[in-house]
Amino acid sequence: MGAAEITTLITSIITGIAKVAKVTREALAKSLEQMAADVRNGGLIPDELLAKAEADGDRLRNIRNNLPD
Amino acid sequence: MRRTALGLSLVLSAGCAVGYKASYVTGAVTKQFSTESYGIYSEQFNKKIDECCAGDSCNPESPDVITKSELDKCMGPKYENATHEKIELAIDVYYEAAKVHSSVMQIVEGSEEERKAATNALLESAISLLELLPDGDKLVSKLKKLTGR
Repeated sequence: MGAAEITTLITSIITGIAKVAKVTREALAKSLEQMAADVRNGGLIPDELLAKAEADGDRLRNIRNNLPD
Repeated sequence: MRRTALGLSLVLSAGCAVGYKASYVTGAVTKQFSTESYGIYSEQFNKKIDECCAGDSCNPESPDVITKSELDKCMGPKYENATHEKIELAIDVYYEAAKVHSSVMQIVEGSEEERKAATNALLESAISLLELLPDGDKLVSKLKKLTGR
């Protein structure tokens, strides 16, 4: 492999890393803004979590209550 | 892999937050982490019920039916009825704290103290919930790391 090819390869790698870093930075900034907006807009209130926990509890209680002592 | 990526993005997001954003981000990270952790617990909980009720053992009409205490023993201390009821109570408290947090964050002119108090209350209630889940200590220390506490 010649010097020119090595230079091209190194340049490609550096360009690739820079692109990935830029995309990651943008994605993080977006998700940060999105998360803040979700909270501001009253989102992320764990309604589903509450319902899920109750449903899980009901499932076990229904089974257990029908079993003999 | 997906969890690692999520964890990493949460750490970086929480780390990037400054000032008033910290309350938003800490709240969002806490809510997301608690929901994910409960989701994992819920999967295991339901799997455990399926295992304990394999065959016809939870059918009261069956000759192979098990007793309440046999079911409790099979579910084990982490998933038995008494533990789950404590988890449900902790989720009620956490749910109220999450509602307060979201409403405080919506007040544009709200005070920083109020935001901090709501965020701390949310975090405390999430910790009380996570402590009850299997590997609770690890979950609590992970949440503390994620939120920089």
